[in-house]
Amino acid sequence: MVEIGQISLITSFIVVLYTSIVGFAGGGLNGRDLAQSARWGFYSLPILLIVTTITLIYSFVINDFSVKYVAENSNLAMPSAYAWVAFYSGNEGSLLYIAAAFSIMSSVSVLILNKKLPYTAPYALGVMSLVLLFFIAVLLFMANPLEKLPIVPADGKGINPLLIHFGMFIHPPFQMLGLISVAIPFSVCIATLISGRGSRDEWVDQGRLWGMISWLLLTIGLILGGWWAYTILGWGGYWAWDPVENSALMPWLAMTAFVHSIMVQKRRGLFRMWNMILIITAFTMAQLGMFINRGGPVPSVHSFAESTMGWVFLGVMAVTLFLSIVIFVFRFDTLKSRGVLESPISREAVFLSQNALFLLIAFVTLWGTIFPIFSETFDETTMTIGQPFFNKVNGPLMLLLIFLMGIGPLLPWRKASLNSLFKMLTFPLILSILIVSVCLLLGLTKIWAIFGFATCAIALGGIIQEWFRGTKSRVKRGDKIHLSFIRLINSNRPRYGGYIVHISIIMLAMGITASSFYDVQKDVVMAVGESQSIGDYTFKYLGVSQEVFPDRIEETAKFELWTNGKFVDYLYPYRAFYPEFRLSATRGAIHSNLIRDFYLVPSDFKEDGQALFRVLINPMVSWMWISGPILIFGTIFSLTVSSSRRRKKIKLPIANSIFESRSL
Amino acid sequence: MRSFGIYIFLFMFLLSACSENFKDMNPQELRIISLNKEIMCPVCPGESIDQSQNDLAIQMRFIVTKLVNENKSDQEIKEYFVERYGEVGLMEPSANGFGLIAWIVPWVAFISTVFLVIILIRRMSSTANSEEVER
Repeated sequence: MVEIGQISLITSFIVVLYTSIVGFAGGGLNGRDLAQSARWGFYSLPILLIVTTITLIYSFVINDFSVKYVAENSNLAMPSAYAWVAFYSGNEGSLLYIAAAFSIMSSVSVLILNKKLPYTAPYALGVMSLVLLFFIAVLLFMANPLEKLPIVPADGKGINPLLIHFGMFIHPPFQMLGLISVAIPFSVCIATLISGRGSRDEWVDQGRLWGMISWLLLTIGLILGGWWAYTILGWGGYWAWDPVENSALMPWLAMTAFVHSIMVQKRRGLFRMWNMILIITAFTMAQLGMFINRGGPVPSVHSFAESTMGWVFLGVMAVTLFLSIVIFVFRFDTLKSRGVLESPISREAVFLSQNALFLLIAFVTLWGTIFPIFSETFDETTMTIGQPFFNKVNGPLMLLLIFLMGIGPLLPWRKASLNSLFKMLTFPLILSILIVSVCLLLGLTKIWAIFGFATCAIALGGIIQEWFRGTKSRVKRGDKIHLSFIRLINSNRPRYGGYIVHISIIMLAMGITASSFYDVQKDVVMAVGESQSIGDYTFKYLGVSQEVFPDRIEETAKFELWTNGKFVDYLYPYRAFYPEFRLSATRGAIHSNLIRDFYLVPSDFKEDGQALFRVLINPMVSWMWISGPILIFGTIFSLTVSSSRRRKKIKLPIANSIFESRSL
Repeated sequence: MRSFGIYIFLFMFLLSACSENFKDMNPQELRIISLNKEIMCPVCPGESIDQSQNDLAIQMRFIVTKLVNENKSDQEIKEYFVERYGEVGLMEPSANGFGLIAWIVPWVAFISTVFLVIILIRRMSSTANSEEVER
């Protein structure tokens, strides 16, 4: 079975070698047959890599411990559903996952690019082939997941117990695919540069489409990662500014900047160079992320896929960056802006500042992540840069970002007067002043938290105002309220979809602000039968039961939770000890509602029957998890074209294009 | 206007929940937690002793509580741990010596970004104006 996978992996290597040469040749010689041949070759890659993937997963399912990777990452006790998780839980398997997933996604993109950008598509195919070539070469020569062991062990080492969680079925796949998918808009951009068609702006729609898809994947990966950390790692938090988290955040920041500034190019023909720089930066950061994750130089809690090949990734990153810059410099002259920035008070200008801010946050994050290396080399002291540093430095910057998010959409393209800006800001400002006074009335005194809520209120106020005005003008024309709201949103999906995403970001920001400033945390020692209260929560420790599994010993505590004298729920936090890994994992029990989470983690069960627990009351955390689906909906909505618009386009192509240029 | 009212109501509701939580924490406890967040667990890289559920981290939390109860200042407590585990034992670099660079660079970056954006917007919009004059 494994041999089949091995053969298809070797075949895929030969094919991708062929497509990367023929792709560029097809573009350069303008050879249609060459380009077509490269395309058909490229379409075969997902099939070949899926075959390899299936053989590996199958080896997990049948517990074929003659395969080294299977023996290292699973055992007989592992439920077979976790074969999927085990498949990417180690270095080799995760590389195979990345290659397979990327080959599928890039094949779809080649299919579309070929129709939309026939002249640049062969180059894009070439660039994507090179990316795949790297991964397949590494798989074949350095980290082969299908490698056999000389002696077949009776049982495997087992999967890392921290990965046994529902979130692990989706967080790593999204995160890894998100990071590698940045390569697609990157390829579109590099292909445009190589073909010298940068002055035509024809790549913008495709760049935006793939940029947003990759942005969405990265966002889902980040939110799921936070959710996983919150529910399983048992420390009551969701984000720790860990190096690997940072390295996933940095490309996200650059991509967020990109999906905004690409709109400026689409609408106004500005920022041509800037967009190219952004996407190159994003891809470099995505590669850096993969490097840090694979045996990078900084210690992290994410060292699941750790290996010694981090340096290979770093080398490839350097080469990619160098080549990108060379290509960029050679095509510099094709990137002069079509339009001009007419006024500093315009949406373009806010977008520019917002872009700069995103990159600044990415830079500061990078700085904090790699500073320990500096201090070690130059000062010979090891230093840690952890959560407090990033909170202090990035917190205010992110607040500023949300403020810009509030005023950006209020400003029109081209130019506005200061007067009209103030007029637009009246309602949002009143709203935020109201919020501040409510905060003060309630006795909230933390200045940064109040700032945070006020900024969120400005951003939300702006969106409400926009929606209200748009709906009102439609109601005046005689439509019903709910219909006119839906029609308004439908009339310009990129814009109103964007607002939906903004609302989810506001929810995220509110959740983060509330939970990081107003969380309550207490470590309590309790005997069986004892009850304690914090605020209006009362919790009673009913006892602990021990259960022995083949791979772990679980101690589960039982609690009764009451609020204001009313019974709410039973809670079962547990602590599991995995003797083979000499690792204990705690799983908190969470009672969650829209206002706050009651979070209970067992820290230690003592011999004398007493137990140590940590109790956390985290306000508004659930808002962050709710924001996820809203964000996904908003993003997909903004990428789709409304049916009414499609109809209009056929009937009135000219009128529609005028309408389009004015509306966003 | 009604949606506005609902929104305000919701907000007040949420904030009241927050404030209620907040009043439960006495300053001493808050201080212990914030200290825990600044001290790293030596055996679990990247995690503070507040985060980690490791036995050593639990012990270290007890030491922090003890030192706070002995009326030691934040600085003294941090130094206590730096003596034992080195500078690496703090979650953020100290604001003196080499660690100061870590704090200065973000500021420098911020200020230069602001200037860069201002210059860029000015330059881009001034070319616009001059073109208009030419026209």
